[in-house]
Amino acid sequence: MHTTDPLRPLRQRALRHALEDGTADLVVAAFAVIVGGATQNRSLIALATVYLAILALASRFLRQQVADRRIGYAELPEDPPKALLLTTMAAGVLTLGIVALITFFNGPIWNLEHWPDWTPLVAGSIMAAGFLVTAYRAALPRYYVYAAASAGGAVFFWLYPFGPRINPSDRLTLLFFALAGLLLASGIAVLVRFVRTRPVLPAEGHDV
Amino acid sequence: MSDEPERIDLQPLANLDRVVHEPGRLLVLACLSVVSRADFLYVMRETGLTQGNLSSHLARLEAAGYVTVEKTFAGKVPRTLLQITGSGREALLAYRDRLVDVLRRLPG
Repeated sequence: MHTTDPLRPLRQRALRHALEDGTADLVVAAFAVIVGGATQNRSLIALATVYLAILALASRFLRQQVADRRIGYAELPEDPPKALLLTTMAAGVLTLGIVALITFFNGPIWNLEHWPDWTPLVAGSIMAAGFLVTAYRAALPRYYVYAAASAGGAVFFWLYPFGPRINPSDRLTLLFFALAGLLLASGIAVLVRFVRTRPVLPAEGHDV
Repeated sequence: MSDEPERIDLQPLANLDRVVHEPGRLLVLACLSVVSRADFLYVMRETGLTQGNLSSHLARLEAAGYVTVEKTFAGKVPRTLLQITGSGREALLAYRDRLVDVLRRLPG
């Protein structure tokens, strides 16, 4: 007797439904820019918390405008766009926390001389893990691409010899900006396709 | 020595919850069991039922106390929100357990 969850395909479809219109990608792209900017100006990380709440609400609003009248409304026990926003926040905050610790014990905090080059690896790994979990649970191929891009970008921005004008802190920022660019381009493409292929259905007028 | 084949107790099959047993209603309950709540359009899309069919199944499920139906508005647009109740969830699980139990006893 196999013990797999018989409702798993339905759970998967419900998760996919929440991410089908591409608005989550756009919201996460916007937040990745904010978190990337906050890695340059650390005081902005507190502001990023406010943006997290605002973008979670924006995500709900966008879904209501774009998806609800096309594919229906479903509220899940967990909110996938919010989980992705939290992952992005964690990628920024945890990486900066590690940098703060390392630089604190080696002189003035945030000192670029002691800022490690491998910070994109930490942030990229967290982002890749978040995208991978989403891709697996929702069976959405484009999230596998995001996970691969996060991992690849992490290695690239860690190892690529940019020259003296790009400091270790910029490497981390560039990773977030590059991921934001990918999410934005992909999100727009998904959204346009979604709107073109899913017509707005007539208002239901209370069916039951 | 007796050649009489082993008797399989299929009596639990007769006691299956008829409200849940109907495939359309089972689909609706299964669909609602994985979300906190959903609107009519989502359930219709996920189950593949027609509007009339879904309405009649929902009326039966609501009468049995397995789902709640709440009529609201999203802006100016009417929306019917559906949610599985605690007893609906229990009925779905009990149905699944009973059916699995009976099927396990079948030979072959």
